[in-house]
Amino acid sequence: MKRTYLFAGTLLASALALAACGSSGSSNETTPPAGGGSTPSTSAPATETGLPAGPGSITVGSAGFTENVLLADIYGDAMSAKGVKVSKHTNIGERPIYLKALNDGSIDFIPEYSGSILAYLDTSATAKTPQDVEAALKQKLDSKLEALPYSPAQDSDTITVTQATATKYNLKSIGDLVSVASKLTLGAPAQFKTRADGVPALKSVYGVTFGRFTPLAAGGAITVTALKNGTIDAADIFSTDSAIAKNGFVTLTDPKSMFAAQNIVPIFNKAKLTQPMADACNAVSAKLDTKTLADLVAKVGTGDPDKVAKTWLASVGLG
Amino acid sequence: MTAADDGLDFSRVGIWLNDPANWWGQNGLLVHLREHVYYTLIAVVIAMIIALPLGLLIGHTGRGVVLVAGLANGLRAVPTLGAIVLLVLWLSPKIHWDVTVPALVPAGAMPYFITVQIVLVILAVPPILANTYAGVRNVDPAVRDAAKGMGMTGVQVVRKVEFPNALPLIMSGIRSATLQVIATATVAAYAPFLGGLGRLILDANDQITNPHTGYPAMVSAGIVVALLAIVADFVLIGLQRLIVSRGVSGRFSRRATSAVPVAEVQLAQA
Repeated sequence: MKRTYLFAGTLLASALALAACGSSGSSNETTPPAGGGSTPSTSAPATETGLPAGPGSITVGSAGFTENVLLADIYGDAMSAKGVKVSKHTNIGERPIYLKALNDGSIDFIPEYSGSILAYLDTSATAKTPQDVEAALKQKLDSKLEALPYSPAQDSDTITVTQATATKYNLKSIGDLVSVASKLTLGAPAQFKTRADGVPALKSVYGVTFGRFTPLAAGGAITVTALKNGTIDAADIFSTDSAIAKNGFVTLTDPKSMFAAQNIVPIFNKAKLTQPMADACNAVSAKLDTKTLADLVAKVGTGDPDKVAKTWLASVGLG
Repeated sequence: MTAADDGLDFSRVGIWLNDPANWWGQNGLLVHLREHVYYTLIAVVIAMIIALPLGLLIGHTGRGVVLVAGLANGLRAVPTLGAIVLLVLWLSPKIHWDVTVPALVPAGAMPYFITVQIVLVILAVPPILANTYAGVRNVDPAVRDAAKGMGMTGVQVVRKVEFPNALPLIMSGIRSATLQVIATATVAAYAPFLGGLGRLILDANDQITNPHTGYPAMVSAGIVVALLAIVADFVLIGLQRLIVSRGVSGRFSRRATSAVPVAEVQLAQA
């Protein structure tokens, strides 16, 4: 019995040690540059937007994948450059978990994707265009939270084909597939087959029905290889996937907005938001577009997102 | 979404299993079970064709044990999923043989089918090979010498003495290979167009809360993989009883065992 306790205790201890490693490895304190600013005082004069003028302090969080960590680093470092005291807690995990952290004040900021966060908050959301999604999101977002204006950069699903396929069938938009899709194979994540903005939307919005469907991991290396060598003719690849540019793939346009807009949108805890934070984030959002984001994600690879973020910010004069 | 209604309740598995469409449908358990059995059979048979003669040769001659056994044991360390992804990315695009096999290889899937089979064979060879040469090496030297003394040729010694004596160990190698392949063939679903029970498990991963294709499908397919492994093991145990000589296994019927002491008593009296 004693041994059992000992064993359980050892397990627990090592689990705790691992957890500690996880959090200490992914969070770090970034102090603002010298002379950047003082701690905000409650008496700081309010600006015309009603936000405090002092730089303030903020904890930046991110979801558990490279692109989102990179975005957290970009926005975080830009705010830091404006004198905001920024601490980072990146790589938190999935949406339910980091939204909980945002609500309980463990983090105050997260870079989000407008369509995805809206769909999470309202499963019956029908907004598709960037403006509609933004308007709907403002209504659905918790009153404690604030969404800043979105960036033109989007990480959305796409229907992507090779240059050869696009030339052969003269494809520019998803609708152009209508007469040829029955001969073609679509590779996409398994859920794409049933989810509302997947195969059913292809049919209802564009009248496109693919001849075959094979489930493949979204944006995975296998999807890219299968598309490249002709195993599949079209694939669901994320718009910020660097494989699109690298292989000369053609992303078919979505003029009827089958996929909801997925603009990058900074979400703040209202109580912590200050004017310098908003200014820094808006400047970043304005400079960021889908192509730039794809290039930056490719640059990170398996490296340090923060380094890539700092280099880019310096190159656009926001560092 | 509350915790109670996140689609991860085990009771949903029962509901899922009660729907005949989930058994007999195009994407049902039985279609994928059949694919899974085929994948396993093909991989194990190919592994036997490679490993049995090689194991008998090494065991009989005693040469190359270090080299081949070391290689086989090295193969055990190959991470199967990594190998599948690597070969699907590197080897499959180089294969331009497009043959369709009904119920097994759909159109365009042959390059991926071959790749997956290679990985499964790599997984199945080491246990069969190791057990075969170990079985042969463990044959009582006196028995082998007696066979040679009777004038048997090398081939006859292998065929009539070493192989039958090594059979229990060889069979246990085949059983262990089969179990590993059944459990691992689920990764075939990473490749385009391929199936097996892994299809249901993998597809559920990105839609876990879906009541039709999510968690219940994943758990059910997992259970079927486990059951398949158990059934396959029982079948192979039965086969082993049939083909292993009673002289080796020592499994005699009661009548036969009682006959031995009588004979011994008579010998002692003589």
